[in-house]
Amino acid sequence: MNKQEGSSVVSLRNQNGLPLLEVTDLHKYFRVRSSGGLFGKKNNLKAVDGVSFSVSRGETLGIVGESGSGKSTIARLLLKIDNPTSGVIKFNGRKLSGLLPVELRKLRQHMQYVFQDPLGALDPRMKIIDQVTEPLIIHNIASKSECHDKAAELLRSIDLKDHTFYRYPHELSGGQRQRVVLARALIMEPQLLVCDEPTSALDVSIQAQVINLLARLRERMGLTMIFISHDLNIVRHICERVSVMYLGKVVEQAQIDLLFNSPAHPYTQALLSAIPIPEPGLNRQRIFLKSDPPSPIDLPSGCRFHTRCHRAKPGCAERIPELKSLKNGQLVACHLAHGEI
Amino acid sequence: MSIRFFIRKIFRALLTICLIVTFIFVALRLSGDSALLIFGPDADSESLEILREAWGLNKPIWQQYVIYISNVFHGDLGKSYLDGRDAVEVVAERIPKTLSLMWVTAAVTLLIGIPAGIQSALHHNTKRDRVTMTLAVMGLSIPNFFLGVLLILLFSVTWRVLPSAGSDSWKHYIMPVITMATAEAAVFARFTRSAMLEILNQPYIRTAIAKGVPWKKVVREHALPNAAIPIVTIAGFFIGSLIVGGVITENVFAWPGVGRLLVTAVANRDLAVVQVTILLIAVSMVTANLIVDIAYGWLDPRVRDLRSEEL
Amino acid sequence: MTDKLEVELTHSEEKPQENFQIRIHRFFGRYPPIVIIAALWLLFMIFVAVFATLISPYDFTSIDLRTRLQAPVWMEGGDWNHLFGTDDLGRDVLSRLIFSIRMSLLIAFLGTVIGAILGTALGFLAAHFRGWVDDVVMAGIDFQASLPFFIISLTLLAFFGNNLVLFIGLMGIYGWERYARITRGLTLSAITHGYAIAVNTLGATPIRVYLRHILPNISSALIVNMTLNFPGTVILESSLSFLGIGVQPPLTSLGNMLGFGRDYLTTAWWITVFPGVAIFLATLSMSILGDWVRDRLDPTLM
Repeated sequence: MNKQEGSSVVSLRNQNGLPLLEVTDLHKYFRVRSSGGLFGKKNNLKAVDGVSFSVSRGETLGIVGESGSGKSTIARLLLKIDNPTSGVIKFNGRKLSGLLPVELRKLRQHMQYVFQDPLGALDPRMKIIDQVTEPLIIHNIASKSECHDKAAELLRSIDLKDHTFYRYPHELSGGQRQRVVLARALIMEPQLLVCDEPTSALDVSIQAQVINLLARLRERMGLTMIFISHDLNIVRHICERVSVMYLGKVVEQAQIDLLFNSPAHPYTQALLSAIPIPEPGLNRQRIFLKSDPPSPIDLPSGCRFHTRCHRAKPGCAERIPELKSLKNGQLVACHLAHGEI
Repeated sequence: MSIRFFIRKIFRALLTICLIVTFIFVALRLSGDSALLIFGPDADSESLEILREAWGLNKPIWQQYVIYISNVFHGDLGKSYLDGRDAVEVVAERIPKTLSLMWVTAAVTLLIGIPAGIQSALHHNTKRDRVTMTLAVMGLSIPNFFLGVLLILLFSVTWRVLPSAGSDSWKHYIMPVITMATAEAAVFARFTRSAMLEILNQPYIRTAIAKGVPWKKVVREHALPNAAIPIVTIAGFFIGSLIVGGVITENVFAWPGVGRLLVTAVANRDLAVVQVTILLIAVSMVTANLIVDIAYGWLDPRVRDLRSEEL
Repeated sequence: MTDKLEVELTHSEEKPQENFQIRIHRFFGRYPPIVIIAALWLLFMIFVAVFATLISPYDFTSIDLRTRLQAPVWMEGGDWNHLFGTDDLGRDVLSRLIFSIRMSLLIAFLGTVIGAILGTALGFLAAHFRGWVDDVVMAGIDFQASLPFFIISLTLLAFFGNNLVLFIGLMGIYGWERYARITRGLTLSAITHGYAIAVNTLGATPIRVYLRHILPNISSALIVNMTLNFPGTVILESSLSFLGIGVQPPLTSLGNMLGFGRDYLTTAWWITVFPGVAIFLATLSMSILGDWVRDRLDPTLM
């Protein structure tokens, strides 16, 4: 990251003390009906189970976890696509839950979402330029021709050629589509951008392009970002802080360097050990996780991770570990790391 | 078969019947003073009052509803004002004639429609297929009342070989059955053809052919039984269209069945008879659909599981 | 970034000039002759319906008892004054046919439009609100599917008597459930994942999401359903009118003409045969056209 740019981010962050986004004790349960029996028993699927974090202005927070860990659900809750079962989300100091539909729609121009699947996120029957212009028209920001010029300018700045403007989504390549989705999200110059695995649907060669583009745009626009991924390696390139999630709970949260140098949670250690190291000769002990993650409907007692943990002790199954700070400021939810067992 | 699937189906069928009864009740009450409707505008006030009393028309609407429901379940549905007899009795005596026409039509439809569809599929894209399908589209498009009238014009008026009205001999069946079966057979031919074509494109059929199983055996043992399953799904639709076709055809050929009675009752606003007929039709259709659903689940276990999930 | 599409585009511009025969061949590959004939016939009927007052030789109600039951022009007893003959009251069959076509097409058209709007709106409502709204709409769909609509219309006509507005409304209720089911299903899948959510997160109002985004995307399925529904509506209208409980005199429709002409089958077949043929050809061409549209737009739909 560019030093100069970095300092401007810091100054923006200190603009006022309030974090841009504050999440407290967020829960999202889905009612599911298990099959069998006369009417089937109803169960709760705990997709997100007591998650708290805050994001300062200009910061980029990574959320990492396996599929089913609840990271995409968090993204949907933050954008109010779904409503949380309980918990508070504050954006700019305002609670999202009490907003009238009109207020919410107005607020949406400040918080945007980049989808995992760009083809699904674009209206198949609408031309690219119209899709990018649409947010401006919805929020009545500029006249039609101004909108068009602004959209065209933005699209050109992210390397989309003029002839693609009048195409339909299915006529573009995956990388082009994701850039269109980005442009649509950024045209209103939002304060917060939530990216939900924005590169997982793309070819590896194009992933890097999109990540670099994101980094560039973030610096230029002073964006605050939440970047969701299952890939720690990508997160490392773009985030300053990372939350690691496992089955609906945050198990570890730390600055990116701390996390990579001294992972405290066994799950994080296992994830890190799976990243290939580009230096030959340097060998690292690969930690293999036992079995598949347990069902989120029928969670293990105590620490959720103990069934797969390579360091699990008998006590782990009894009490649920709290997310607490270590001496160096790293937040970890593990009895072993805190020396409790 | 899971019990849950059964119970859900039966529950739905009962719910539908209740809905229909409610619908008739609401329509009856919305349509104005039923007493006036039944006796006509020149009725004297005394007999109106007696009728209102008898039907409970002076009571609050929810009480009327309860009374109505209980009457329906006791089979007490009022008297036909055209001939003063019990409406249920009036309708019931017409049922055998209607059923006899429907059985024959159903048999003819299946005997023509399904083989035609199979032939068409087996000779896909040949001249035989195209001719059959063209006939099917035409059969679908010709309104049955026009077909009936045309048949009368040709066979009764011009050539004088078949009777145009009544139901006394086998000759009386010919034209009504043709009238009803034409469109039905066309539907079956089209549906069977597409079901068959889909099955014939399945990998297991191609595997069987590749293995060297004789073509006739492939068709007889693999394709036909599997194509039968989707055909069962349109059985419910078939019964519905037989009823509609029956109403029209009975009127074209003066066939003394329920359909003819219904139209006469509607034209004369003989409401008691109308509601008995509608209930009869509703109950038979709901029952038929229930049987079809259960048969379908029994024939194809995949569908049963899928459906109970979806519900 | 290299752009494959750009390369393809420049290629396609270098196509050699096609000769006339190939173009004709391609045209008929796209539009089979039978489809063209069907479309032309429908256009002709629409033309007749629209300009009925201009092209009909007589007023369709004008009675002339001196020329009762006169045969069409090519038969013995016919003359050029009454091309298709006259009916039992000496009214010109051609003129009545023209006005009947107008009435039948108008009713079927209005019915189809009302049904499409009603069903689509209810489908949107069900998908948007879920919960009890959805339950009510679904119960309505189940109810309508549980009885043939012909029977439902007979009941309503019996209870409420007949007038043209009610009758057209009835034709509109016919088939709404299929639009509702299609709309609901496609909308649900669009608003639980995909572009509708994306537009929602942009801050669009639900109305914008439904009308500007979802509607264009489901329109092909709706249009296919309309082409399937239209002949059904024509037949429903003419069946009821044929039985004497649809369009009432002095107005006339194809079914109504057929029903009254039936009494004169032995002496004046032309009163019934012409309107019958008109209905038959209309539904036939609509079916041909509908099958073709369905195959092109939405091969997955039954």
